[in-house]
Amino acid sequence: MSPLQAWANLRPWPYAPRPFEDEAFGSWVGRVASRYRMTVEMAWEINGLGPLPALTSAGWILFAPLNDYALDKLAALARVEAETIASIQTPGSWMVARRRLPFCFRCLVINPLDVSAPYWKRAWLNPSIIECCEHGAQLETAPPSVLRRAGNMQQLISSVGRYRRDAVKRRFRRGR
Amino acid sequence: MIIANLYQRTTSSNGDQSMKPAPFSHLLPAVRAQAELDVEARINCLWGNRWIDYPRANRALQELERLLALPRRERMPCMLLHGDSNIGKTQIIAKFRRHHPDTFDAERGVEIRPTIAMQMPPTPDQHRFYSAPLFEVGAPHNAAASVTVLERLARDLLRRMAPRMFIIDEVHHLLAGSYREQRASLNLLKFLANDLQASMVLVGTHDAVIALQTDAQMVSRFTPFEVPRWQESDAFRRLLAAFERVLPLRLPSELAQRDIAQYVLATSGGLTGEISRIINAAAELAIRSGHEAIRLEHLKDVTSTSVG
Repeated sequence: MSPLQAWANLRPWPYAPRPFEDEAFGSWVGRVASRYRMTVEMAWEINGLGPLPALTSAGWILFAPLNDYALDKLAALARVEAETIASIQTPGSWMVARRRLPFCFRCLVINPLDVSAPYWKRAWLNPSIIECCEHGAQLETAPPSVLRRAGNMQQLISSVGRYRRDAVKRRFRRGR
Repeated sequence: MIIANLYQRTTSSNGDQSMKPAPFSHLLPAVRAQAELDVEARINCLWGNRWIDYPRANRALQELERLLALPRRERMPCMLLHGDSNIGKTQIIAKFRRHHPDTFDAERGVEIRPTIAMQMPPTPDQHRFYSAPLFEVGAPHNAAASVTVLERLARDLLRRMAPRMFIIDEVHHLLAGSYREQRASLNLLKFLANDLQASMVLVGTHDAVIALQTDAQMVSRFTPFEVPRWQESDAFRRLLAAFERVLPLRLPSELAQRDIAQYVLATSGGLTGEISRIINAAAELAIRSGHEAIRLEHLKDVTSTSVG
């Protein structure tokens, strides 16, 4: 029996953003929470997905791998195959505390597949990544606290943008 | 055993098998199989949801279809479906919605709803008003969020779901508020109809007409459609005859007879919902007693017990 059949009595979400192939699981959950104008923690609780998994200092963007219950229920709520969600999950070996989290700002804010849906790539969560596979440039980094403070994906994009602007100001002040 | 007896009755009264009417020929073909079920199963069927056509309801359905088919534009035409409580307005809406089921756009991940129906909150209050459609469409939301957050979420979701018709039942609840609150709620309805470019159908008792009359714009925009109480007429007798054809009774009841029709009309007050309840209760009694047809005494029995 597929998860969609097993949760036949569950009321699915009227709108569920589709996960992108190379998206991080936390990013997708963060986009769902943004859509419903709540935090990831609140979305997790309201949808009865069980206790929120233990997270690192980076917060929900580095989301721990899900148990079968949460995975199947999420698949049924979003009307996507459980395999699709499983394929974007964070590998357990990547769940380590970081001093900085890398990202490519161009990739982050310009999604050629859907300009209205910026997302965090799963590859950026790999502790050994250095360069953007799209642009070949060295990835920027942000401290985990910048990401952890954001309640959902929309807030995370704003936080990262603000952090970059502040970083420019800091560099300018140092240069004076 | 009872089924076998009924079959025997039809065969023994007529020597030629091919000339005999089919068993339970007083019922619609789709209901005949139900008549063969045991007592409890038939009583379950009796109290289940079913629809019986009648002219005023069909006219209302046609009008709703017409509104639904209109192209989107500014100031979409709207409708006020009104009538006494238990006259069948909500059933008409439910029937209409069954004809326009939701679909799911798997590529975009959006549920496409041709119609969205909600109930007006018991008191006119913006927070409750915006929570109602979110609850109706099954959107997870933070009930403690501010009105602004709920409004944005509701409008964003509703636009994505692209309803062509927005239906609000129990709209007479508007009158539970002060004049100011009523005006605010009416403005909210106009705003939502314009925002979604969808036809709005308000459903309520005659108090709903009064509520709308406080706003000249609403009066001009909402075409009233009344579902009146039944009067003694051929149409009413046809309604009873139609009822008879869907009740899983094994013998004909002749509900359209004058004395039965007059009794049902008098005790139901001409309300469709009450007519249905009385006939169902009498049919249950007829099944349990083994009479298999509704008689006047069944009707008297169920109406006398329900009064207390």
